[in-house]
Amino acid sequence: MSGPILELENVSAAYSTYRALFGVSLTIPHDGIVALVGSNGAGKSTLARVVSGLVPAAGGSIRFEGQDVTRWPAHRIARAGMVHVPEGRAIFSSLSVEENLTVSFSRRIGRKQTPEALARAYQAFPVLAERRKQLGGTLSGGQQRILSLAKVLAVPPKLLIVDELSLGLAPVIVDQVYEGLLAIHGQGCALLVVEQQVDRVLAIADRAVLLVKGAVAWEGPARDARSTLEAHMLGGASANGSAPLSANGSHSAPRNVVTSPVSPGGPRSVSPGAAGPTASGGPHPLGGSGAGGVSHPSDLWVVGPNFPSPN
Amino acid sequence: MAEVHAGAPAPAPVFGALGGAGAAPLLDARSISIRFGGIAALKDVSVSVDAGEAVGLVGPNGAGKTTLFNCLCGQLRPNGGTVSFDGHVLDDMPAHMRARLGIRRTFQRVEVFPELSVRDHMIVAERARRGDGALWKDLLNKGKARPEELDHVEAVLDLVGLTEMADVPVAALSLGHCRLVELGRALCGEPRLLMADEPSSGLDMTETAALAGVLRSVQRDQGMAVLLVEHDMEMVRTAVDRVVVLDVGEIIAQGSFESVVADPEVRRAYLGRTA
Repeated sequence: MSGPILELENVSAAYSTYRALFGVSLTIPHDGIVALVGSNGAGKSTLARVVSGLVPAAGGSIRFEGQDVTRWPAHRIARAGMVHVPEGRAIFSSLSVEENLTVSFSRRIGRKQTPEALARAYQAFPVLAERRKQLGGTLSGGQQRILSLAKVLAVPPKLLIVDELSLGLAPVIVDQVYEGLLAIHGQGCALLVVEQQVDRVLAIADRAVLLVKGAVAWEGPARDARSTLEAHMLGGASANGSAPLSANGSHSAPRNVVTSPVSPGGPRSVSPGAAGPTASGGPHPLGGSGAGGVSHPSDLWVVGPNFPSPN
Repeated sequence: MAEVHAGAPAPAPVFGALGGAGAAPLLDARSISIRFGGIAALKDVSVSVDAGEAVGLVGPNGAGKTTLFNCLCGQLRPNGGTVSFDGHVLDDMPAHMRARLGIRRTFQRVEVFPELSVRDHMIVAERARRGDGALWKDLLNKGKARPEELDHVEAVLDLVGLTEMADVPVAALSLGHCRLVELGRALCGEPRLLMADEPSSGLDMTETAALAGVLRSVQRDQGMAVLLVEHDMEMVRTAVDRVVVLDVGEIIAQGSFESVVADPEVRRAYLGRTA
């Protein structure tokens, strides 16, 4: 399909008198994976909420598949095929795991297709199968997060916006979730991923957009992003954590607003690590072609700075 | 039963006799069990923390980490086992009394007052620590922070990096900053044991590294013990003396960070395909 699936032009937003976004412009192609990165408080979650209609845009325009959805309510945007998994746990506490999944699936794909989607979700996340009768509110925090992700990974939308993907998840589950993302992307789902673990998301993204104090400070190919992000986000912090905590993010970067469209990138394999097989060595349970031939983000986990190999 | 108190030497405390070689653990939880309906969330779990020691508690989602926190702090009453802190048996003690003994915590799901400013969160914690009735005057709008209270609050704000946001209502903060508010609030209480539940969630790499540094410095400078639940393994590596691994309500490993991450069972259950 030609043309972008999402176009933002000079989007701004505010909470009462607090201005959170300033003239943000970006574009996501139909087959794109865009990483939205930036320091804590930079406006990433606000931007995600504005796109999906949870927070009204104060200015600018948002186009989804060519339609102006700037003033659409969130439920209408969701029905059009854009799904947003916010940070935290978007589940029904008083419904069981299976009921949570069924409500989500039957609404989006109909009752006939729901059993198949349930099977995919349970295969991808066995912990949900083990606890299918348990009330959502009695799951652990991480399991609730898994449930909220399973609702979208088993039935991919046209565009998935996922906020703080790895929040509260054990490393082994983060691996599975990233495999799931790649699998649904293989089925034609475009992705806008907000993630603090930048190495993870840059390993699967085509493009990266850096937000600084509510504005786009840099945008470009994900493979070029690491050094730029270090300059913007890390500010030369030492590896031993001696840098002081900074409430305002310590951003000294100029507002070099780049509004050029995000174009389709190259292949997914932008990881500096060697290409690795999927966990199972076969297709991912969430469908698609799996992550075969793709440099998996968990490769970074082995060789990256966040985890010393015992070997 | 899994007994996990290992002999990691505690840093020399700065204030008072907080323990030392051969001293009883500051926190001693023995054979803690709790069930939710048909699910055994914790099965005969024993954990101890020495004064001035930092212990990491890691494990897969649903392992029981937060449930254990809630049992230790008094939010949940276990079905079996006993918890003692500094020689006090806590089993029938409500959460607020445990806090007065010097146990402070942060929450997996942030618990803040959206309308209050960052500084007001600290002042409330400061006044609760002092326990001289000033908090009740505040509730009646008759209180006014004293200079010494403000000085301590400002020091904590600086420590956690929230000075420039001191007057911002918490409702306007990001998740990561809310977690720092929780941490600062806990530190205002000058805890003898800080229990932090996923404090780095929502923080970027720099902030997480700095947070680990803050926890380490407070632990070492003030002899504060730390029990840390965290999925960021780099933070665990830098912030704790030893690690306890929970899985499905039971302890499956414990020891130094290096020994734990090399444990095949831990890698299977928690770390994933990293071998």
